[in-house]
Amino acid sequence: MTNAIEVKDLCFSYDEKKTTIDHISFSIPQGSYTTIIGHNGSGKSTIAKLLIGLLRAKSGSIRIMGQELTEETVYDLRKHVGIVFQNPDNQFIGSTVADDIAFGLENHCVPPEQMQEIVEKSAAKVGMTEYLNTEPTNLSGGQKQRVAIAGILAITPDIIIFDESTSMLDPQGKASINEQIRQLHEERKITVLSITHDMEEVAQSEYVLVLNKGKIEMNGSPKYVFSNHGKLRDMQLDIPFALQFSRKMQEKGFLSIDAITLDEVVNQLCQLKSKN
Amino acid sequence: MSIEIKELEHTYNANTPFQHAALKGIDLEIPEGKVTAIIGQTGSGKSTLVQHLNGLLIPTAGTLDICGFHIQPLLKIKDVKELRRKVGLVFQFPEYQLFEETIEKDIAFGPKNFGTSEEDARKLVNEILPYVGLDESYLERSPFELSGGQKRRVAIAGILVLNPDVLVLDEPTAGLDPQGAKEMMQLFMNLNQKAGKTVVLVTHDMEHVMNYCDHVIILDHGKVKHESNVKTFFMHPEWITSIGINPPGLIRLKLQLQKKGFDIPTSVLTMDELVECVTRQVKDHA
Repeated sequence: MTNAIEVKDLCFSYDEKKTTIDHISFSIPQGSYTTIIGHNGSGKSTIAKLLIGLLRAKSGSIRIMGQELTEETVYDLRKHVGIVFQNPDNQFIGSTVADDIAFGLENHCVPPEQMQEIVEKSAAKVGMTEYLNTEPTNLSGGQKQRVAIAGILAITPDIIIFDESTSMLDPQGKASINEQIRQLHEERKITVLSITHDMEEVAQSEYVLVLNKGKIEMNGSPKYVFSNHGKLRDMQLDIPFALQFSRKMQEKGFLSIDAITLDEVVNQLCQLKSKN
Repeated sequence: MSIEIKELEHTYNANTPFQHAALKGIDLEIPEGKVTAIIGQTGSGKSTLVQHLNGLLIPTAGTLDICGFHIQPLLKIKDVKELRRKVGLVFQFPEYQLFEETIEKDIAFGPKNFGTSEEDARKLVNEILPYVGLDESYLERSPFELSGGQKRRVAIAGILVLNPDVLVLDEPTAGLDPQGAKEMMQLFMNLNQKAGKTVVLVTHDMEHVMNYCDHVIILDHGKVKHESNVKTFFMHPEWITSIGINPPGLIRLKLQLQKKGFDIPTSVLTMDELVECVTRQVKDHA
């Protein structure tokens, strides 16, 4: 499989005193759902900003869809990568939902006669059609984040980065955005890179990168990463509830394989019950 | 003395085209010395309600009795200034409100503002630091050099240093890494259990409600939808789900297992209880 993102030996620092990103290399396969976890200040958001060219690396290279990210290619490459940030209030530009979704299109010089249709389609995909003429102040945080996603969908990127995009939302807003992300990933084969503290989301992703003090400490499947509980704890992280429960059952001599989602736990217990 | 709220209403921009009724008649008693969670969707009125607790907002109708203050419409800000010392309000993302050049100055700002001498304020700052897990080596540093979690501790220290009786926190763990969130909750638990503070917590995190809180209040469209003891609340998971709340992992697992024919009493509310209950049933089949 080709890689959507390839990062080699990347270094970055905001000032002389501290290295924020310290010789990082990783690659993300096209069409995958990858989560990035790490303590506050580990460099997660910095990586996201480097990947979309908001920050410039000190050294190392980034390839997006096979093409190297440079000052010359950055604007072109932004057609391939979209990002949704944490704070819904900091990324609303338009005076209405429709304006906001159209903003990216204007930037990419899409002819006005095509815009209307693209805006409507994108709004429909995130369930915001009836709000097209609504002002941002009359939207909830979850709705604003959906508009942000629609704005990105409008430019049909291959990769979307979510930088703790649900952490300021209420549970319903969060659930609806997570569902939206899952659909985009499954139906449109968009490569998803999600920075998160939600271990349940991590358990459902395909691939996990664990950042610690600007370095990649671990990477692999969620099961592999969660099997290092002690190490995660030392890095200010945790394991999902399902695995905590699974481990308790193992201590009592039941269940021999780690389960990281509730469905897995339930399946294992049902099998045990019927076998006996 | 508990906090008593009677028929409290708050309408923003009354008598203008932007008029918006955020609270529409709230009757509540928030117990003293306990940890109370306030939950509800965005726009349900949670933040408006908690801003009444320290007189930042004055009700447009109804009354509020808190720490010996009787708050009613048309009170002047100067009448409630002293209440701000007794009720500490920590906003969401408080780290954005740090502004002084050193951590010591930032934490000392509150006491100095209330007339404490420079020297006494410094003493208070030194006393409060260990509570938030920071030491003296931080005093002379700039708050802006710290990580997000540390900044938040400094901001909370700036409230604790006023030694409030009631601590009101608007989503104190949002955006923190898992262990950071745990430590933060542990800090509030200590303040509640060891220093006897009344804690009011606005939160979306149901794990925190279940594991740390005594009492729970649900707001919905500016009204109280539900109020109960936390244990009682989580004994009715179907109802919780039906009103659009995602219950904690333990409760969801319980529901799933019940559907698959496991017999799990409603009273089971901790991990150990559930493990014990489930092991008994898989063993029984042996």
